[in-house]
Amino acid sequence: MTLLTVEPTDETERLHRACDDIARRAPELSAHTFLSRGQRRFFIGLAVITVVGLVLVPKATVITFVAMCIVAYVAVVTQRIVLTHRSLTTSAVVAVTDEEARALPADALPVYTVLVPMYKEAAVVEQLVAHLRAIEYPRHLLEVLLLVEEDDSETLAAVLAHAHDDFSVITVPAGEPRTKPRALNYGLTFATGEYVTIYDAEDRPEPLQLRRAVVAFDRAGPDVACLQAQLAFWNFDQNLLTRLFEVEYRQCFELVLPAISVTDAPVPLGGTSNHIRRSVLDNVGAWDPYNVTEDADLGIRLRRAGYRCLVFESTTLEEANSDYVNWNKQRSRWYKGYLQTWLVHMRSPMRVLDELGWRGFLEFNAFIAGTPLLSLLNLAFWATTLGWFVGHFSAIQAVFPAPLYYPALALFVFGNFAMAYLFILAARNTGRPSLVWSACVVPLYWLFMAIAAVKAFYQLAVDRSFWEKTVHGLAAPDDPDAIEASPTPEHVRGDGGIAPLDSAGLEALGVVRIAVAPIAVAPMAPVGGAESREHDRPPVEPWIDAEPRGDALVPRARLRRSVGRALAVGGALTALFAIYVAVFSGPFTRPVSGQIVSTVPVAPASGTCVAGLTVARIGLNSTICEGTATDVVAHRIGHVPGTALPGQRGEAVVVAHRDAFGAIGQSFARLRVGDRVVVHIGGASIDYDVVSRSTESRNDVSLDGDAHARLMLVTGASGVDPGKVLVVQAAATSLPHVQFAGTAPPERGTAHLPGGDGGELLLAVGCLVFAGVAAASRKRFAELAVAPWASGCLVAITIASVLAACIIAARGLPPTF
Amino acid sequence: MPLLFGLIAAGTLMFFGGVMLRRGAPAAVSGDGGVYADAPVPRAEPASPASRPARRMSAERRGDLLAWLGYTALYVVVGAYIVLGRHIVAGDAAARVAQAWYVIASRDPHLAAIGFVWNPLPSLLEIPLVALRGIWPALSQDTFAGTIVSAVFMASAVVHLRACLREMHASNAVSIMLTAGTALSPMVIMYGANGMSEAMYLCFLLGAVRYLMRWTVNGQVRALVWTACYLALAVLTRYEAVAAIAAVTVVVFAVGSMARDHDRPIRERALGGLSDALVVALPPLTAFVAWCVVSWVIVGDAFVQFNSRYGNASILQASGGSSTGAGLHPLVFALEQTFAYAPVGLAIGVGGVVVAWLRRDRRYLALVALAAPLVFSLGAYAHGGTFGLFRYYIPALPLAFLAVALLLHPRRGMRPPAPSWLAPGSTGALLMVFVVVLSSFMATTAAVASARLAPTDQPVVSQLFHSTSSAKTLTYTDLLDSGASMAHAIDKYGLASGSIAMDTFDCGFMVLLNSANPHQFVITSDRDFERIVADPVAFHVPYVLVPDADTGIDAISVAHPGIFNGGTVDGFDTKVIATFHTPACPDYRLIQIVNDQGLR
Repeated sequence: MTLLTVEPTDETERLHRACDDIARRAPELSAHTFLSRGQRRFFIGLAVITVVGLVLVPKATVITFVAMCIVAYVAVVTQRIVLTHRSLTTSAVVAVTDEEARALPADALPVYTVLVPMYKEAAVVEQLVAHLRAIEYPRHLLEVLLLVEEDDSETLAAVLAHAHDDFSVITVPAGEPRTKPRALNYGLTFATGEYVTIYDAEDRPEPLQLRRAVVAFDRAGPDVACLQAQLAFWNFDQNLLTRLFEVEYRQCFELVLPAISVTDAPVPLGGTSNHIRRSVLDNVGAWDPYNVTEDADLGIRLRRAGYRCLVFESTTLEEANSDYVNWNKQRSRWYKGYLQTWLVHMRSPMRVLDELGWRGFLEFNAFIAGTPLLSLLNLAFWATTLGWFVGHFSAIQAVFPAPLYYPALALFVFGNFAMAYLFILAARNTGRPSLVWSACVVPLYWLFMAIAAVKAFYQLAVDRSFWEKTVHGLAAPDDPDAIEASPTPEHVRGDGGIAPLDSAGLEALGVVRIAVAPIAVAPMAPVGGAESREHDRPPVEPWIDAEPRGDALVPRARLRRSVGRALAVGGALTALFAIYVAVFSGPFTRPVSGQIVSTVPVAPASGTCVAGLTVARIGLNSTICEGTATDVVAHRIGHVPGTALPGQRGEAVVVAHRDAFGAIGQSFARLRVGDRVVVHIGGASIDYDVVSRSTESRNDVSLDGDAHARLMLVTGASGVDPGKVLVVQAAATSLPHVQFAGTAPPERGTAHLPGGDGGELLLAVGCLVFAGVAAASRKRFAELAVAPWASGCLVAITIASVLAACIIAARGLPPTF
Repeated sequence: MPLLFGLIAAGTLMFFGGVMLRRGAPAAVSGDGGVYADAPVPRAEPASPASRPARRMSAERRGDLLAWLGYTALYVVVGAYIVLGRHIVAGDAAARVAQAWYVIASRDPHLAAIGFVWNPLPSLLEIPLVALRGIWPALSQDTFAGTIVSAVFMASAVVHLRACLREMHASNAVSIMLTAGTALSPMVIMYGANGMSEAMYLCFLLGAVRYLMRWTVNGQVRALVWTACYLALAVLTRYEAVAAIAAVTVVVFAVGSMARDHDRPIRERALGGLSDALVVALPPLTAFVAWCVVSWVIVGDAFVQFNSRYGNASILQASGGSSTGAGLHPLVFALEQTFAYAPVGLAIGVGGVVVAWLRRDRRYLALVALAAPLVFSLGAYAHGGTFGLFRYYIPALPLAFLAVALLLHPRRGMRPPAPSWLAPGSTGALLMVFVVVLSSFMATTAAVASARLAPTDQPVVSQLFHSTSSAKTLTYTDLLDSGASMAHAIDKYGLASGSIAMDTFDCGFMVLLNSANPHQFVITSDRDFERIVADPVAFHVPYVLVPDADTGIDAISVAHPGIFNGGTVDGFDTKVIATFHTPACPDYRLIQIVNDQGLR
């Protein structure tokens, strides 16, 4: 047993390094500041836009918000499905057999540092020591550093009482922030190992884990900087909560993290049992003492610096939180930390995008921000659904218009099912049937998670760096797996177990004080900088060639390229479509017979041309046909079914395209009050005088059913708003008798000015997506070495799809466009 | 035009702006990658992405793709000949297309218009196709959308079968014979071409069999998940798939328990089997329950198929019960129909159960996904719960072929192995497969030509090949033209939107599909249909279209008895505007409700 002590000045220097290393070397990577200036501006801007939106267009704002929530939900659920699928199809976990692990001779093993941060863990010290001693690693190469908070005399006493000769105890000076990463950073200044790993006080690492890690490191390329062991719980069967927790952990460490680790995405490390190369750790600035999930943050920083993390097959058993309140504290801390981490790394999204690539970037967002968000959204969606079925609140109906409602409902059902099913799959994967049945009540667990998420969001705003301590030692002690712990020495057992820390007491415990030489006060190098290697300890060999990636782009160039591509594609499509509508839209419509019928049916069939319309002043001479379908109204005037015919009493409504399909509506726009409009129908001529013209909303065109005999000419308004129409009213000077044929008198409904029913637009978008897929598949096909004609076919399909999109979209244009 | 010119100008500007922006961006920069641009940074060089080998499409997948393309093309061409060329459509297939059509083109377009009598998946997939009506009206009018969907899925079913054979290491000759024997079977061609749901149903069942078979060999949970997904799709296609779910769940439980470590306590093994069963049963059960709940929420009945006026039970009652062939016991008749698919193959398959049992060949158990719905159909018919239609037993065909193939290809080490004259690749085996395939083809061909065994298919076949049809069989061959003629006659009146109330059940859907003005009809799926039918005058609906069929199914005739023959509606007189006499439909009348009091 060794108690490492340092000079006061050296202690200050070490503390300084532990607390402020990242904050000073790379302030943009530290959670010391909550939001960057850009982020603050962004969030304030977002808040302003939201408030303005809520005031001006409340419904649209809420609908937009709901739609965004749905997109986020879909993204996260999709990612989980993809990850599980990847895990089940590829072997993503690094496996090292017992024989391989033991085969390494002692002289081939490096010095290994095990950091064990402890705070108020007196209850588990005894077991901890037993488990650490069970590790199969040469004693002289194993450096166990127990990090005890200075003012935690209870734990210190227990540690000093139980620890063995080959363990070193370090007291971490009190101070803020009192977090695990701060203790770890402090402990790291004492560490001399080539590899560093962390165990929590209640952990039971698998004895061969360190040897396995060494073998795996040797096997992996130099870009693998970190190996994460799998975590599970030894007390998983204690109650329902621990069983659910166990399934979740297994899902995380057996299915999710391995799947993430095989891509370019960053792996959010678990809190313990991550084995890291010391040199890299220094290089990237070790742990962020202001982040409450320093583990996840470190994983992301490693990936951003170009290193990879893998998951290897070796399980550390932890103690599951068996108490709900305790569980909630831990979970809300994790969520808070994830959000904190996300905010830190999203300070410069373009840079992260450049470092992680598109996929890594998306996976980072979906996992780090998505995990807490999903829990929260889940609560919101469940509440909405319940509200809808129980209360039928009209407010809920209002913010879920049909195009949103059906996808939302389907996704809600599918998403919830998928998440539950993945959870059950994870339980099935554990090979423990009892967990499968517990996994079936996972919705209950979601409720817990949602509550924790609410708390996390609240705490993030109020108390960011506060570390809610998780109490350990709650599990029943009758654990058969527990390694027999050494008995507590007689002299510390007494009352409260608190031993005095004076020299005499220490000597009584057989503790040796060793004064550690002070570390050199080195100038702070930027995180990840080459200078960081020039620390006090012997310089680490550069084990990576500093060659950049071949296709590396500076972020701005990447942005320019992406935006440029988007603009070019979008612009080309817009122009193509407009050209198509202006020039070619006519010929592709099926012609209807242009012959005006001599005897007009009282209710003409769609497409029947019933009348001619002339305006002498502007030289307009056209045909009025029944219906507003595209093929009727192309190059003609359409009569809106259900309104009176010219020559009947009431208001006859006719429409014409203003921009597309012959653009007869342009003539409507040139009509002035007082112009004479003549309609020839059934052998009679009816004169109308233009009495008014106005711009109205498409939905507000009202009909006066008792009007004497009027003609309403409708076309698009001159602006770009398709919801506005130009309405020209003309009144008949006299009403000559017109003979209509047919026995069935039409029932006059109200004038319904049709627009595209949205189906065409959807279809056109579908065609464009298809075109995109076809274009993208060309490259893929080339990769797959499929016959060259297939590539040609795909080009043809792409062009045909774009053309189809144009045709379909044009047909979906409202008859007034 | 200003808007268009503006759009063209803006688009062009955007395009060139984008191109220039892209050009301006350096393709790659030398130096440090620009991440920590201030200091030279040692960056780890990820080894993996660069060394990732270019993946090639495997020969198997390429073969599957080609087979799929080929068979899809075959079924589409045959379908085009039957539907577009000869104007013969299957009533149920057309009704499914019509359901898709209601969703987008009815007076009251909404997703629930897809209806709840039938499972939703086929109609759901047909929606995007009928939406293309503007480009190709035949997709909806001639119900060709159904043909495309069924062709695609029947070809997929064949590919699944092919994959099953590949995974049991069948030789090329055996694989080709069995695959072609399935794909070219008259019933498979017909139902791949005519737009019925059989194609999807077979595809999903065979998909389930394929992955379940894989699971019985490798025990991987992934295969189980795929099985579950296919079963879920199957139950969204046809109700019979519920039997497959039950049977597969039981099989997975049994195999899952047996396959586990024999040293473990029996309870633990059983629990393990149960967890496997849960994994396989949960998705299809959820799909089924979700569908029932949606149905219950929207129409107030979770089992419309069984309870409603339009469901099987009441149609069966209306048509005078299920007819049996020539006075045989229903079960015998149904078995006769079943064996007509593959007489030799089924006999071998049933007999081979013993061999499979001796061999402990668990792959054989995977066949329950096909066998269970088949048994369900047999039982349902034997109890008089359904019609004696030949198509209900179509799973018998791949079932027999797969059973034969499994018997011929035991896994290594299974006892007893196939005798040497039947060993894989031997002439005996080839001969046996050939006999199985040939007998199946001949028996099925004979069956579809028999009015007794295939009451709905024989008229189509005889019309196609001999151009003969009787008054009785015109129902099956002239539906399209009958509906179209009614629709065109009604269109001539040029009625306004929402003028005619009509139950889509009998031939109504065909009228709607062919009408140029579908909005003039108030149809069964409209949310105000019930109210309008109860009191058409109050809702200003002056006309009704009713059939002369006293089946108790037509909603309007039920609400206003005797209306076809000039009865009154709520005290208002009625006037017959037109009577439509068509070969395939009952007589229909367009009836006006005379409202001379001017009530509105």
